[in-house]
Amino acid sequence: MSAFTAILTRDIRLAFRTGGSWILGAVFMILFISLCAIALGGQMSELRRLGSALLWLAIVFSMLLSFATIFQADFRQGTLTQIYLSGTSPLILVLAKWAAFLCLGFLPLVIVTPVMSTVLGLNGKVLLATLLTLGLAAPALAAYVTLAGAIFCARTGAGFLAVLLVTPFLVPLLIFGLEASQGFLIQGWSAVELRLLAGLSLLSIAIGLPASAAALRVNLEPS
Amino acid sequence: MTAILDMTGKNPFEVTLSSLSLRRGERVLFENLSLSLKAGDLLYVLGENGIGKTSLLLALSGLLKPHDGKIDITPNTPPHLSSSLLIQPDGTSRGLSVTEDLHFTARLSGGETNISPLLEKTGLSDLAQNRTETLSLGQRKRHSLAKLLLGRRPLWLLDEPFSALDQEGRALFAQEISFHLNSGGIAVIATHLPTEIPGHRSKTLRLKAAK
Repeated sequence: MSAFTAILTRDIRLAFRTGGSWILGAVFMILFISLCAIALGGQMSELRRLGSALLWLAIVFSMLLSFATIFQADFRQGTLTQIYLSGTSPLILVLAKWAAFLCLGFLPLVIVTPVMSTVLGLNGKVLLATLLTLGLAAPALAAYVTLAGAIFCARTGAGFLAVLLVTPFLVPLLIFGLEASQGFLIQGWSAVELRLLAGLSLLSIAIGLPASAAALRVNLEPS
Repeated sequence: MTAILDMTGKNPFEVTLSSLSLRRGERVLFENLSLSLKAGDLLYVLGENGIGKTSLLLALSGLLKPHDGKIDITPNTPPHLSSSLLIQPDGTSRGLSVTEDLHFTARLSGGETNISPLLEKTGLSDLAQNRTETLSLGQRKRHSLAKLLLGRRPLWLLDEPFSALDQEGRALFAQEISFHLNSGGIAVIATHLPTEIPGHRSKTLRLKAAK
């Protein structure tokens, strides 16, 4: 437990100190939504209809883009090796990194989302539905992005491969997430799609995190 | 879970390599290396660049799996829990201060320790609040020594520990290695220039290219 909090607090502290790469996701999201609004001709009726989906896409893409920030620096400076040698299990390391990524890669996006929803002209209920479903899916999204980070931590410039690898995993989350968002608007809290999404999210965590730990262990072995 | 040095001598610490063969990818580094190290032993690993000195250290630390043969540690603990590895890159977090990095290392293996005596011993007191990336190479070595002392692992695997250090730093390092050996630890040092550790006889292993 002490190793978990040590890694988590270290990552958050370092993120605030070094350049602010954690803001990049939020900036990307603002640009993406703004460009979408321009591309769709600024028609409020169109934007309102597509708003929830656009927010979802923006968040999925911006989380995906920051996969390299999770493990790469620590791999290169040998910190991952020393963490492993300290007796910390790779799973605890992955859990801490995943939690740090949720704080640094997802929370800023949650803060930006309400602002962006006004650009898209979404009403309060649609915003709530979007935030709720994103909140349910975020742990799973983060787990798959962590997996991509763990697999490619030893390679720089593997962004293309990482996107190819992770996208198939993200598709079900996107489909069920948007379904759940619709379901919540119609049936409220009792919508069965919400529970489906939560289940899918738990499943993704159960697959993504142990797989990340295994990938890290393989990458720590010198080739 | 951390193997802490046993000072009582009831369970002397031993490392045995039996017909060990190492490869990096397809390249054979060496084959059939058998060797036994007992508590208090100091082993110098010599050999040309790229011959496999660092790989031997990595194998002893449990990171590199032997291609053949095995490494036995008595009392039975996994290699990565009995050893400290000093190697480049040294795992120091860029962006943290010297103090913060030491605290981080201490918390990883499960304890807050008072690190100010450690800073004093390694001559880093004045640099305690400096960011690690601003340290010179020699200061980095001192920082690594501090982390080595924090770990209290019985097997020290040191890759060129004396390079970049000033005379006082080398003496300090030699002194700490000597303490470590006296309290029943083992040190394996990969180097090109073996340094005398006062009061200790050393074994030398000269690696030669396979075939």
